[in-house]
Amino acid sequence: MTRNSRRVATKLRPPRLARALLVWSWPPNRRDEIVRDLDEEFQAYVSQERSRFGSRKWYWSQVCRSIPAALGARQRYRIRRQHMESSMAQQPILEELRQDISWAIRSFRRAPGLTVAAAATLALGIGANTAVFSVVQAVMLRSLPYPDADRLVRIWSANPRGIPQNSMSPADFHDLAEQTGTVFTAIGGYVSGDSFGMSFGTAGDGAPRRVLGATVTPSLFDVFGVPPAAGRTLIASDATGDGASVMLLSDGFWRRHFGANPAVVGQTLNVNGTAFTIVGVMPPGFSFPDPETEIWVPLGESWRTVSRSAHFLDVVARLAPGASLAEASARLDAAAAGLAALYPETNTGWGTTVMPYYDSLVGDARGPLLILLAAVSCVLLIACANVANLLLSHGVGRSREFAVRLAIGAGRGRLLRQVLTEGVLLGLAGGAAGLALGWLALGGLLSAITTDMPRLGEVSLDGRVLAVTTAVSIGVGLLSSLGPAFRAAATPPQVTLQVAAPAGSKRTRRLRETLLVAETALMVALLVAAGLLIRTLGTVNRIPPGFRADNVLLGNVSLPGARYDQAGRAAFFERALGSLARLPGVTTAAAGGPLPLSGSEGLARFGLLVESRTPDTDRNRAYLRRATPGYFEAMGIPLRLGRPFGPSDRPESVPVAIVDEELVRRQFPNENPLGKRVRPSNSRTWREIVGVVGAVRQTSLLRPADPHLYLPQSQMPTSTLTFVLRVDGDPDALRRPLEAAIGNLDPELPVYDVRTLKDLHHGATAAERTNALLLGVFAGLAGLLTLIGIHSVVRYFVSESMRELGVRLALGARPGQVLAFVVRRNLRLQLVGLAAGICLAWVGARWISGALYGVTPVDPATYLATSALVLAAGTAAAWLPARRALRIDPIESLR
Amino acid sequence: MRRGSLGEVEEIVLLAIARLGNEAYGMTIRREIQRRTGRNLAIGTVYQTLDRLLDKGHLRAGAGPAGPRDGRPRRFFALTASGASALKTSADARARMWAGVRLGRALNDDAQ
Repeated sequence: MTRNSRRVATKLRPPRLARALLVWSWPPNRRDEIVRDLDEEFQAYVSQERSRFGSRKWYWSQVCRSIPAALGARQRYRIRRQHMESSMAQQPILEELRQDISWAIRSFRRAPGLTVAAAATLALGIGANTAVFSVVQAVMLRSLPYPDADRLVRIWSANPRGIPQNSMSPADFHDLAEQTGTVFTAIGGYVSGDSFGMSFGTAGDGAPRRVLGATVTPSLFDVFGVPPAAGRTLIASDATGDGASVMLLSDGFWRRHFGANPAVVGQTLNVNGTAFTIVGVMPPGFSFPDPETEIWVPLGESWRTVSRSAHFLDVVARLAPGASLAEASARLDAAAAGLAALYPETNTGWGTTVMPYYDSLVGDARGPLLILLAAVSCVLLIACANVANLLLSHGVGRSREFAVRLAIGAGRGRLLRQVLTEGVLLGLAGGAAGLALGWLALGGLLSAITTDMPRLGEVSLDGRVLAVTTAVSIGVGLLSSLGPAFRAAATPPQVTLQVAAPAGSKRTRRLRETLLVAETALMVALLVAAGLLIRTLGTVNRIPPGFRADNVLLGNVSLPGARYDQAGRAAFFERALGSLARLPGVTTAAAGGPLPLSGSEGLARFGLLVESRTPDTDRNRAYLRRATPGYFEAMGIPLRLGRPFGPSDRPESVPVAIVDEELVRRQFPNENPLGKRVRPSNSRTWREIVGVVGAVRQTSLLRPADPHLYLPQSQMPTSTLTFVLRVDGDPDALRRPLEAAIGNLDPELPVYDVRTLKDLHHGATAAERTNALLLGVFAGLAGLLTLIGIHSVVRYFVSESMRELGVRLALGARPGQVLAFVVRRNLRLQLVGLAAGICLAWVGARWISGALYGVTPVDPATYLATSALVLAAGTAAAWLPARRALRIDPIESLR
Repeated sequence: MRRGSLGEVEEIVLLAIARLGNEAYGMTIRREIQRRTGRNLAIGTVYQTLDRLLDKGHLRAGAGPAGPRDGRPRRFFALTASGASALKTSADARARMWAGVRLGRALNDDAQ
């Protein structure tokens, strides 16, 4: 008993459970009073040397016997509150909101630095989100500018070699169109400038220009259902025979070249030496299939008689009312099967693929955009965590204010609302600034996206972007003030009113540290993702393209068939190369094409036949390329065996060809290819192999090299070639001289796509560069915000622990030890955040694996480097404020 | 005056408040009653009674001097005129009832 009473005399708490029961049973208006009374009496009871057991029993009996009274008090309280509420109904929430807002503004004025820091942090996050979301909105969310756009579908031939999205032959197109009238109201085909290289030089208004145009079936305009702004669209009769010489203009072309003159309909325009009659003008916004498409001409029905293996038509269609995609697909497949039975030679194994037009347009852009959106969302969350931390630290300083408001009658719910209101106001301020930032950043973002993303021209800050930004602002305001609001509402009134300098509670500190860990984790995940993409870019940049990209200028010409026959083409290029070679600075002038990685290389791929071997043109395929003498030298493609083309290769001399290493590897693995005879399947002439050159990456750097067969332009002239000028010095300086030299030979012939070989090579890594650049920027932003967060948390920790650190110093700790203590504490948080971040990255990186090349999503080097970077930067960010601990004067801090 | 008639607990609570002067709040009232009468009222009952007396207008509550322990203001109770007169009425009624009552024999009977 003595043991008991001694313990009792020092400190004995009322039984916890009984106390909880007491708190729970009484209504709020009586709770505090009763709890305090009983606590007080309990202490008095205890101090009278009662037994611990007796005191507790007494307390329990008080609590239990008070329950009936408590229930009565509860009842009274409820009635009174209802009464008060009904009389308060006239003083609505709006009034309270107004008060909250004016309070919020006052508290911002008292802490302008904090307010600006918090709003600026949110503005960074919101701005990044606004910019990225504008792109997402324009590319992915905004509906297409056609009536009932969801009924539009895209149709392909499905190649039996496993390419589901192959262009269609005009013959197949017309047959399929006739047999699927029940499921489609209209079905249209087109040849875009890209896929066919068919473009138009216009003359008459000064220098020759190249215009991107599309050759289309007239039914295409029925598919889209967009009426013309002037004149008419193309009609079926325009397509008879080889197609009438009529054209339709885009709005942009009409404005630029005809000053928006409506009398333009009926005028003629000279295209490639032929006069075309303008029949109509399309409205602004209609740009199909490319944003730059400026004219449309009809595709003649005579194409229908051309071989079914000539696949060059892209197809769109509009589903008939009530027809589903599945029905359409079934109908198309049945029709394709019928064609395969009728034309087994060309159509065996060919099927169809059909997909909503929207998906075909946007599908590939979705992945990269979602990655970007995820990245900026992480940045925004980090910004939120930072602001929450700022507000928490600030909230500790304000606990006196909260306590006073509580004491004079504010409800805890009101305090909660007050802090949330402040958060929302901060969010809106950040949102307004963020909108401006986002608007500024949008230009940078668009120029950073160098890949072919559809609909980028439509990007703008429209109503939906504004609405989303507003919602996001309010959301982040609430999110970052949620923690501080609950801390404020939990302010213990009595403590704060007494103590002069309130310290943050343990729970506040824990919340702050949790936020820091969370933002570190997000930052780590973003850094890992950025690291993986940067390594991908590095790998791709190191892939040898097979040519030497420096110091080469390129320029394309396309000789119009009306003015240049076979002999004329050969003669033109000979004369042109002769004058180009004389330009100052040019070391080698040549021509060839299509060039590797140029975007127009995909098509000219033919079956390859080797003399005295069984033809197997399905498996033996090669890209067919033209080259003039000097082409390999100018491109920097190395000669491995034999000789390059030379002036001696004349039309009348022995037909020759040059092959590349890849073709040799596949066709002549252990033989000398020189002297062997080969031919492409589109020619009857056997050609002797006179040389072997290095392989080049043809369509993409990421695809392994494919076999190439080079033919001399002199022996098999083509109309479209690229000039390749290797120069001594800056290739860009030769742009004008190149154009002038060609203009001297043919003033009506435009030189187009003038660029350096380096640009071309650069373009092939656009996707990787875009990914690495943007994710790098966002990860950097995330890193910066997190470091600021670490800095402020550690700084707050130091100022909060002055006393503790002072004691340590007073007890003989060396300053270095105190510094280490602070930094180590932060390091612990960093390690937890790092571990969480690595888990997050490990899961998330699989998601971006489609954008990776030559590096696995779990690449250890990236993870290690990121970890090292994060720990080093995090420690540095902690070390700066931790040095304040060194300046602590132990005596001063203890006062 | 029927409305003003006091219940038994009400009466002793009023008396305790009168005795305590400016020291009357929930806990001291409860202790005063226990010390004087030995009745161990539940604190809840005390507050219930105080609420009822406040409703009747016999008491007024006000912030008194700060409590000894935690510095928060608390409710102190004091009699109002109506409370005082209610007590007086009750005491007078008792006095009149007591007049002439002799309990001697009955008490002795019980004791045996």
